[in-house]
Amino acid sequence: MISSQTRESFARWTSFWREYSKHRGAVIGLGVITAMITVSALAPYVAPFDPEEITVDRWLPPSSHHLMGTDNMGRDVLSRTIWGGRISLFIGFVAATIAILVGVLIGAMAGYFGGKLDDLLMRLTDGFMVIPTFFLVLLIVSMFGSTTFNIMIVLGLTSWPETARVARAEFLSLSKMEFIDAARVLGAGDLRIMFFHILPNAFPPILVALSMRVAGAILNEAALSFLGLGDINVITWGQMLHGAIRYMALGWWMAVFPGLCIFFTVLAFNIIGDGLTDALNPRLRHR
Amino acid sequence: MSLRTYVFRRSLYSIPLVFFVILFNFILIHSAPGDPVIYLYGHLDVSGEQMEIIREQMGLRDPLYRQFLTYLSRILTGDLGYSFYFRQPVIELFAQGLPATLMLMFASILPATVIGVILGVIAAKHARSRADYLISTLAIYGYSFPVFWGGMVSILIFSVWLGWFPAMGMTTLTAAQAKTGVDYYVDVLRHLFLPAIVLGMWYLASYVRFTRASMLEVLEKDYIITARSKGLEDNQILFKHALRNALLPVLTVVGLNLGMVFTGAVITETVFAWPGIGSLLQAGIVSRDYTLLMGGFLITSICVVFANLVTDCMYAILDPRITYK
Repeated sequence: MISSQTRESFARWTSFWREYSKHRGAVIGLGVITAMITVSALAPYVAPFDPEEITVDRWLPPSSHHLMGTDNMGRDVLSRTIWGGRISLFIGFVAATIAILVGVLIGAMAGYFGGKLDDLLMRLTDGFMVIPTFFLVLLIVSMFGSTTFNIMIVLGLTSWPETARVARAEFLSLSKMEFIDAARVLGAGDLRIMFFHILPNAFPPILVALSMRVAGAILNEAALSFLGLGDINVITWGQMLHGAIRYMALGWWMAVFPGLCIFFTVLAFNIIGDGLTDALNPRLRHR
Repeated sequence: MSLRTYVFRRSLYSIPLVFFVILFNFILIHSAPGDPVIYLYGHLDVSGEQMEIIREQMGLRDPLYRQFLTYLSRILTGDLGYSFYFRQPVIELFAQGLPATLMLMFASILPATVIGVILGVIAAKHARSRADYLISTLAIYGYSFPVFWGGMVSILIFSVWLGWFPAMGMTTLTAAQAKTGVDYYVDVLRHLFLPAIVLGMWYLASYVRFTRASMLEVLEKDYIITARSKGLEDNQILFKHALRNALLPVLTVVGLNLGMVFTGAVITETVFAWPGIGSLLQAGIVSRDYTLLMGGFLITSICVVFANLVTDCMYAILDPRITYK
């Protein structure tokens, strides 16, 4: 029984991957993200300089020694970009994970149990959707302090509603399937059905949401940093841009390289999201 | 139920929402860390006893519901408090910044919406063609860049390097170069160009993506297949049957974006030093002027409630499937 189910879900995943890999951009996007994560994880080994080391070599343009030049305090921009990617990606993933956890939990309860609970939770979700989220985030961060921890939590807790809707739709339709009836007849409880039978099948659309949320969180963290609400004790791409705006005319490389990193990372996550969506609905292919 | 009754009822439904928004704002203010009295007078030589008196006078000793009622009545009379950074009532500051922000938003959102929807329809009509590939690719690029970074790079290229457009502000400020008459308007337009393009690009890209997805979904529907099997012309199906339904979700997003127009402005106005509400709020962030920020949040929330109301009414007019219940 178990083994046939495992085999079936394995087959689902391989056919899913086959659809996904038809989307060339999405495969490249996955490659880009893998590379970004690898480089960030290995930051202490791959960064050529100490990212915080202040030297007299200020404003050096990109050269073979400093591939991305040096900034207004003589720090190596490449090393800072590598270390900055660590925090930026970390914030993106943690915030997105929080959003997904909250969203899936609320959506799952609404879709699975239905009725009054569904009404209540969905009204809450609708209410949250019309809150000017970014504004709320910058208010809360400016009131309670711009620490990485606060930023991640707030970004996560304000971006779950879309995921809740997606999860609700999935749980609603899946809970009407025959294999769920079968599980129930075999004596599985609600929680077991929700997390062991429905959730694995609802995974692909949740992955889409995760990918899009990571992109959104990285953009929002950068925007917060740019407005001066970032955590000044860490290096992020947004913080680097915040420091660069006054020196645009003196050293374009200070602004261009971290910006390109944000752009390509966000682009890659968005394309992955599109690729996953296409693989889910081959009829509505994006290209 | 007639349309008019629906609109009326829907308007009534907004009242509790506005109330909820004000309550939410009140809770936010009260959960802010720190003591407002120390925040206001802490730098002066004020004894603890005097602080108690100030607390009493400010109503901070009253029970919470009383404080909320005072707050509510102040908001309803248009009193959003006093900005300590600008030394002016918050509502006046917003009134001063509004024209510049509306100008920027009008110049970016309006063209972006029209062009975005058209491109989205073209892409969906020729799905998987070369044109679709081009449009979709550009759209996802435009959707992925941080707006402020786009602004920084465009300033670098078009102002610093090429010198085609001014880098910041809304007018040329130096007295020697100050413009009058027609020249003044040309000057403003030159200043407007870069911020409007940069902000518009983002809206454009998101509307293309949204319209395209919505169109593709509608084109799969049974009634489109029915229309096709009746032998109707492609264009007739596209514009009469599909577009009308596909535009409804787009309408929601446009409405929401219009409601959040000040949020969208904060970043762009900061980059280009555009003297509107966005720059005002940015100054509020830097100086930690919470009264100003809270006022902005409240106004934005109310705008969103209002924009939602308008969107819902438009829905009722446009969507034949909605029954007013």
